[in-house]
Amino acid sequence: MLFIRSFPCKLDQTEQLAQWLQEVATALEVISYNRLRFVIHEAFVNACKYSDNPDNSIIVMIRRKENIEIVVTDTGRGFAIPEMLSRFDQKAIGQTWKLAVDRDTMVRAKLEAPHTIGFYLESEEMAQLEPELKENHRGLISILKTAKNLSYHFVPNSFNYLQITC
Amino acid sequence: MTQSIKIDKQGSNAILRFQDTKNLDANNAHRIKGEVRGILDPGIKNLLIDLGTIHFVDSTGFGALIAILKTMKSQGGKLILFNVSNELEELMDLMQLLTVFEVKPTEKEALASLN
Repeated sequence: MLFIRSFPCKLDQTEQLAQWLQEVATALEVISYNRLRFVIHEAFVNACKYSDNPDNSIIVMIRRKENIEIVVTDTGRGFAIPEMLSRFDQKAIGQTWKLAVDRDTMVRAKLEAPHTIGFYLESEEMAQLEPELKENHRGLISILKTAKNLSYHFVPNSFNYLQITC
Repeated sequence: MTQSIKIDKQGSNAILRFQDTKNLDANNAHRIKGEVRGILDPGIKNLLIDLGTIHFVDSTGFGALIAILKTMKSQGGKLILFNVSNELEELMDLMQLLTVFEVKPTEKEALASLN
């Protein structure tokens, strides 16, 4: 079961996205509309926020296999996060770094493969030990709290995507 | 621009209601946070927010609510959310926010909790 739709890279498209996701969630049966909407909305807003061009498109793909697999793509500059860009060249594959923190959670990023970063939540205790990390990337943290896996694939000036497993 | 919120002041308490707003998200959260801060005055100690019309809140929206919560706490007051829909409660649960916010089923219970 595969669902694909393209949207203009504009924040005001979130209502259209929500309407489409209502139909998708009904067809998928195994995930609530609310949860599906929240995860994809966050990825969509992230893509809009970091894209340099409102004329770009954001393509959303949802597939039901053993889990629900979601890919949110855009073309062009993409949703590059500045802290990540420098890591692509400087860090070896397998290395990790602390990316973001909220009230009780810290996000660790890991260079999984060339231009591929995985994100992982760490415990409350660790977050409290890292007061220098400012509270940011709230959307990324929110996706991680609702998803099983999250990774980011980035090719400069080409095709970029967030891959989410729920 | 028309305001998205309306405030009813009752002594040192204020009740905030949304007007024609179903979502609190990246499209409007920053503006609404500014409206709330513009309306709040030092005489208001506790703020109660009616979320009855709100069906979806994203991370930006939750961020705005957390910012308002911090403002109220810094003034020695409280922020209480009420009329939270099942959909919104599910999201707050996913985000582990049910322990961050004080949530009451109704306006009456929210007001009673201040006593």
